[in-house]
Amino acid sequence: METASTEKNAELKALTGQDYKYGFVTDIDSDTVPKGLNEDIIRLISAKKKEPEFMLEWRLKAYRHWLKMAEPTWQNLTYPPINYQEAYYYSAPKPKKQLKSLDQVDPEILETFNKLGISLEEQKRLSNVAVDAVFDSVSVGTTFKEKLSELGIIFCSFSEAVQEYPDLIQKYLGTVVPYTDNFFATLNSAVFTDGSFAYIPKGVRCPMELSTYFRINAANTGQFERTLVIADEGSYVSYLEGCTAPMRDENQLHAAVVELIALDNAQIKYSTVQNWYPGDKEGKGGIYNFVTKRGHCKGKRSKISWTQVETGSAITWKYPSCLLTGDDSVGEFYSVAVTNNYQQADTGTKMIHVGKNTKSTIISKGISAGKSQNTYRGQVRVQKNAENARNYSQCDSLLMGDQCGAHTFPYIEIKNNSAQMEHEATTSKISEDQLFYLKQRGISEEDSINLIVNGFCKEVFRELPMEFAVEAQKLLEVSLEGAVG
Amino acid sequence: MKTNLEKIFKSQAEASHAWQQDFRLAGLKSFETQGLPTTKQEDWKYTSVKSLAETEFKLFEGAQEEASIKEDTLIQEEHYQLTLVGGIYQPKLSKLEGLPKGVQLLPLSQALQSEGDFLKEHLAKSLDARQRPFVALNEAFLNEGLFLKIEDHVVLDKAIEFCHVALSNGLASMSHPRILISLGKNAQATFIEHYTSVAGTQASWTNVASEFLLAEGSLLHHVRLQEESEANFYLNSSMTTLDQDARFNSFTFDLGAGLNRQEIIASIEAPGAHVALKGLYLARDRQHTDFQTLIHHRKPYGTSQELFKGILSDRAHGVFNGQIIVDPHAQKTASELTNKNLMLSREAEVDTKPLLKIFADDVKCSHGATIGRLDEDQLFYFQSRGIDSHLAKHLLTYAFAAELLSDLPWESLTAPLTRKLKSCLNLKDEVA
Repeated sequence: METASTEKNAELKALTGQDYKYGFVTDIDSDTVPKGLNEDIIRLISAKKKEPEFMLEWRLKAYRHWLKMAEPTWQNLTYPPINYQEAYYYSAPKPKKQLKSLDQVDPEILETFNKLGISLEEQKRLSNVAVDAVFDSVSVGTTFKEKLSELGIIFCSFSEAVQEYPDLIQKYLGTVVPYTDNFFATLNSAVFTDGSFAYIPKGVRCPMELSTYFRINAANTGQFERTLVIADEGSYVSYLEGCTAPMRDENQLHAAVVELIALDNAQIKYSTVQNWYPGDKEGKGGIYNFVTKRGHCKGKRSKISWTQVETGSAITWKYPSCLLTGDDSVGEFYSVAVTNNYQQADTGTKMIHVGKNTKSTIISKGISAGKSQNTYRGQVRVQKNAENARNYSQCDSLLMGDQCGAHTFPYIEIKNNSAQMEHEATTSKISEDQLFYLKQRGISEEDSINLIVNGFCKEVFRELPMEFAVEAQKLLEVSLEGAVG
Repeated sequence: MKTNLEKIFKSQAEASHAWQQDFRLAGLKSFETQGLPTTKQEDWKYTSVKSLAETEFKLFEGAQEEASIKEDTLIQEEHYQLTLVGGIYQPKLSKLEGLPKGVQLLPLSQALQSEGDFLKEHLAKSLDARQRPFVALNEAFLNEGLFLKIEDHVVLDKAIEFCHVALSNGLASMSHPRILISLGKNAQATFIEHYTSVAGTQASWTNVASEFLLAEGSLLHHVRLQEESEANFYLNSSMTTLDQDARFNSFTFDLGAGLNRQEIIASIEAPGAHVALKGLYLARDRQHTDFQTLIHHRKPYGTSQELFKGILSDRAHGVFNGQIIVDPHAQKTASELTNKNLMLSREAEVDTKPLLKIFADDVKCSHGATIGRLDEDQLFYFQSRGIDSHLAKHLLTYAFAAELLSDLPWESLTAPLTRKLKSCLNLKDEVA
């Protein structure tokens, strides 16, 4: 028994001890504004991006509001106070002339993508994925654009959208996540540098997965992304977001905002694989990920579905939500959150039922290992006039190791008695019996655990587009294999 | 409420010991530092104490015994009884004789004199008032309540019934009963708390704080029935600590008070202890009922089960916040928490929050919550067999609730509690 457990421990160390595979810094010149935050910096960012007047005004309103706000403390997270004046709020690769093909892109940037295994050429040729790669806040390459534009689909960087489609931006920006929403969203509204914008016109089914790779690069640069996806009546889009980040000692702040709007009969499927630097084994470094994601099912019979696989970041604070105002609209949330070493995750969703016959489903799987803390925090609210609302929530946690924590905080607020809601949650460790069963059939402990964990997460993985599901499984293996205590 | 607090504080009965006076002062100070809770505080998010704060309370004066009290205060005649009216001990309404050897059952005011050292050592040691302003206030008015101490290996033959009748004459009155129960090794007892009020008087406020200390191998069956008038305020915080292999088996039945808030905490402090918490709350009109429960597994091999059901009609508001905490190293814990709510009207509101905080890996913990209304198909089934929809609704509601009354510790309790439930649902006794 003794030797077995030592062996197990050695194995565990070997596997959980895997260093972050994607940690490296690409050395390119960054056009960085001075560090710190004040109105001048915001004016500078806006000017650098050649933004119309309404954007600057909006940013300043947000900034002035932000000054009055206090950083939230309710979350189940502990981290040293962030000095917002110590960060750089803008950093862009040196301005280059407008590029037509990928050949013109800085080879060093391309090299970085190659290391990450997301070679643009490769993707362009082999897979049917349009990639809007965001490299440190400014988009450097967008593919498949022409093909999409034939259908009238707009998919471009946020800055480009501000230049080319200011009316759409003005109409929808901040309608789901207003600039007054919360501390981090307000900060983002003031200083966001770039992001992605997608508009799917009426009745169009987007023929490919829209995908963005985020990458945080310049040291000390907080990354403030802003994504806006609008699905017009009867349209459909599947949007992918995935990220890796270089190894870094100093904590990096990331406060992104994602807004989704679905009009009548529209469907948006938003999938995320998040694998940012989680810090080293002592919990040093790592990304602080404070993200506000919200979808608005504005139209009748609209549907928004969030799927996320969260394995990275030292701290994750993220609640992709659905506001179900359209009658018969549907909100879904599928999540796998994995924490290891000293990672902390406080993540979940909000489903706000406003329209009649609205439905929501929440499937959340939390896996904690090492000394990590993993919290599910969710809210289901049924408003007074939301007749026949229906919710089903299931939150399961798997614990690996006796020093980690798994927590479940569901808030259920029902103001209409025609609502039917069910919530269930379980917390347990990997069953010894299941493990024994697999091992006695000659499957190694590693593979057995993999199988069990994959089975545990299956309900979520099957919601992911195929290529993402593969990546997600890989990530899970890297993060967890053998981490059974 | 705050305006004349100092004055009321000074007006209360003299302390028996210097430590009792210090204890009261510390409570008052703690209350004043904490202030009244606001809905900005997480634990009070759904419950406002505004109406309580706006009412002027004084301590109940005069101890006239009312014949009418006798009739419906007691659940069962044959129990040992200790009765307080408006917070004042009533020897004539109590029955303390014939207690077996090794059992001390006293009104707290007497225990403060005869058992001062024991109380000084154990009072307020498990129930922490620092985050609980109303417990602090209860401490500030430490005077009356119930003291029960059972020696090792003593098994009580009859249940003990603590009856509190809220009563106001003239001004709204408040009462702060304090309960301390200490069970020795392998001792067993059944303790019934019954809170009621005399109708037709001013609003009153009952603010109870209790501590149950269960030694190794002991067993406490506990039933709490709260049926105060809808004009009243009712607050209760209770803390049970369990030593090795101790068992705590509790059922809370809540029908009354306009504002009801109960905090039920059980702490498993040694391996192998078991906690079963059950609760049934019925709220109607504009009643607001709030349950905050916490089962804290501090040591391994503990088990706990919790089931709370709520029935909300009219404009009632039900709040349930159930927590399970499993500390690191509290391995092999098994814990289940369920909260089910039935909403009988459009205007009712339910906020439920079942929480799990798990810091150990080899555990089996689960929680579930449901909210819904009566099943249309079931109602139709009844109607298609000639039972009108009104009765069908009551029968289905009764069936939803009756599960909780099925395994009470004393069979003799089932009948009176079932009667209470039926009368609440307007069901005649012979039906169902």
